[in-house]
Amino acid sequence: MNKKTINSSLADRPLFSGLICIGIASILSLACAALLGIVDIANIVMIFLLSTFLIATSLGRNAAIFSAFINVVFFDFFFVPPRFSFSVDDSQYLITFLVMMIVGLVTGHLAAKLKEQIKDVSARERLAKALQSLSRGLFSAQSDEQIVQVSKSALEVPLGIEIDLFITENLDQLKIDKFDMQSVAWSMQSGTRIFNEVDEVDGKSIIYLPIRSELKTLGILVASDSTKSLRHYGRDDLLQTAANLIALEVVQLRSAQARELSKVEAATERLKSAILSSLSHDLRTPLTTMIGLAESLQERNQGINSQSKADLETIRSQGLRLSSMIGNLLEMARLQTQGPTLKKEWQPIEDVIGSSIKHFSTSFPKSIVKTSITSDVPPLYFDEVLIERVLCNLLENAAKYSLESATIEVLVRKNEQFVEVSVIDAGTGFAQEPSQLFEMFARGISDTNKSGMGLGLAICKEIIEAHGGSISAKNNESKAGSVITFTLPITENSELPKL
Amino acid sequence: MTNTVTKVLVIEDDADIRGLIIKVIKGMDLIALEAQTINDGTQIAAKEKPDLIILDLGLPDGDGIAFINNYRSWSTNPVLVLSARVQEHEKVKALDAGAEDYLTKPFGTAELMARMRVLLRRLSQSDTNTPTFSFGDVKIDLSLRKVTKVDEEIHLSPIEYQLLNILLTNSGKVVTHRQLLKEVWGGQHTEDNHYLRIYMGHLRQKLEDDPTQPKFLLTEIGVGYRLDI
Repeated sequence: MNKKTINSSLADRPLFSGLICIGIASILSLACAALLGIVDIANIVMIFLLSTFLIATSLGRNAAIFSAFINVVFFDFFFVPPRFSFSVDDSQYLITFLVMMIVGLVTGHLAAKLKEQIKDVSARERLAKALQSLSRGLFSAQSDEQIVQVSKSALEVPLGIEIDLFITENLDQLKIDKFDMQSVAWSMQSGTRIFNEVDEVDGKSIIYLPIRSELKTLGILVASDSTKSLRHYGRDDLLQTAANLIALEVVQLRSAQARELSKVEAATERLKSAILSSLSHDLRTPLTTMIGLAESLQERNQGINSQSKADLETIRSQGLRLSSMIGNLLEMARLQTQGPTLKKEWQPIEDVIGSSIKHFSTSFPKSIVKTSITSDVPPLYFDEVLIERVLCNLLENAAKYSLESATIEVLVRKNEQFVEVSVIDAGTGFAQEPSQLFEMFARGISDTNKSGMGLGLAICKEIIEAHGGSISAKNNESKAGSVITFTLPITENSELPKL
Repeated sequence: MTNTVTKVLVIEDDADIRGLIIKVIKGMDLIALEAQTINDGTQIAAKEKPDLIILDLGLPDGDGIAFINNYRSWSTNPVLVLSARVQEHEKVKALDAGAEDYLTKPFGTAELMARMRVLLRRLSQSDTNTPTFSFGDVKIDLSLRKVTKVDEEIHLSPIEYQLLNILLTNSGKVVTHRQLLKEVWGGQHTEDNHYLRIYMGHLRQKLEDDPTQPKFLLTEIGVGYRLDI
């Protein structure tokens, strides 16, 4: 580095190298003059040529040309007869002068060119090394800040330029007075580089390089050199390569961060569902024993009177209701943490109504359910497990708030783009504003001793809304009791067979 | 297979539920065997060759489905699966792996006995099939391909008839969507549940008194269908 600086400064000072050429020619003349008797004049020519060649290799082309000229002058003056004059007796010497001149010029040119090439090669080697150290540094970078730091330290000094790197996709975050914001914005938005080779005002060479992945601009690299064009030694191309390397690293860093995040999310999800399923298992196990034992006692014929049998039935049915409540609680927890994950399929609504009624009547054996479905109700696209839960909740709700043997009605009909399902009971109706019923833990009758946590309707709302439907409640106008209606959207399905 | 004692193996980790099931088994005059883990269960099953296995899907030491796969590689005897409701997909997987039926916790003893009877009856009369069946006021003669309801002949489409046939040969036991689709439409249609549901709806319209509250052609939500006779 230091050697380079000295050499280039020597070559840059013509007066100094001119003096050196004159000095060398003088010394040679003196030495050869002393040896004139011993050394033949033809060999003196050779010595002068050699000096031109050496000057060419060390001081460059201009010095070599000057040296060739000075050598001819000195040779003519000191050695060509008549000596110590510029006149020439033998015209043969004119050819010698010409050859000296040409050889001097050609060797000087060749030597200087070689030197320039060496200089160029070593400069490019420095650039290649800078690129290498950049890619090494980027490889171990773990954050955007580190990428900026590594890029600055790897490129600035070896390239002799000033670098600013901003890793952001948002232009608004870039408020840099130092640069022409228009160029920055245009470069980032269009994803193309802007090269201002030499600025007309301050002579600065500046390049704006967007950091681009396949489709997105991830940031911008601004490089500037205040003394010479960035095109020197192909630094502009090198900077483009550097920008590509940086883009690659930013993309990798982003995807690594995303992977890390999704790993954490997946682990959280696994934990949640593990807790839910073990809770479900742990809570249901004692209930199963309780219900099972109550049932097997009921079937025993000896030692149990009818009153005890009725009590056992209460134990059994309350156990089943408790189990359904636990189901609601777990379902709500699942919906709240994971959001409803729907496993929708095309199916007739009758299927799920039938199975919910069957399920419902195991815990409310005395209730009577009447169904009526109009014939124009098409198959619907829904998650049967979740809709069964909705229907079970609505039926249980209806049964809880009406007389034990009262009839519950389920009406299904088509209404434009929706299918309406209404569950109608003949109970006490709602005391409060029906729309509040669907808030979590709201209860229709506040001072009631009926079982239930008000969770049921909140879950229904969550499930129905996830299906793109709505749910509403009102008191029956004509008679006692309440009506809860939910809707499911009718969607066309071309796959369905025409029947 | 035709030995006089019928052995039932219960694989369940909870002592109370195990006790309850064993009580039911003994009440049915059957021999009860018990295991608390999949490991023990596998060993006892291999040694005792039970006629029926009652398997809890929530065992601490392993995957019930792996057990069924292993068991199915050397035995065709029925497996009844017990599951908590959250394990919805698990129980369908267990049925598709070769389990015969399932019960959701909490279940009643009457339900358990009914399931066990169906499975054991199927075991004992597996090759004395009769061509005639009846439920409610419906009579079916498979040899004549004739279905009647209140002595009136019912016309069934070929697919409806095939569905009914499969349910009849598996009567009392759940048949998953996948199994039905595979048998009626072939292997590549095992995801097209909507065909099945629509044909099933038709079958119900034709055979049930009240199709919205079926008594025989029951829907097992999320699992499949059961012909309850």
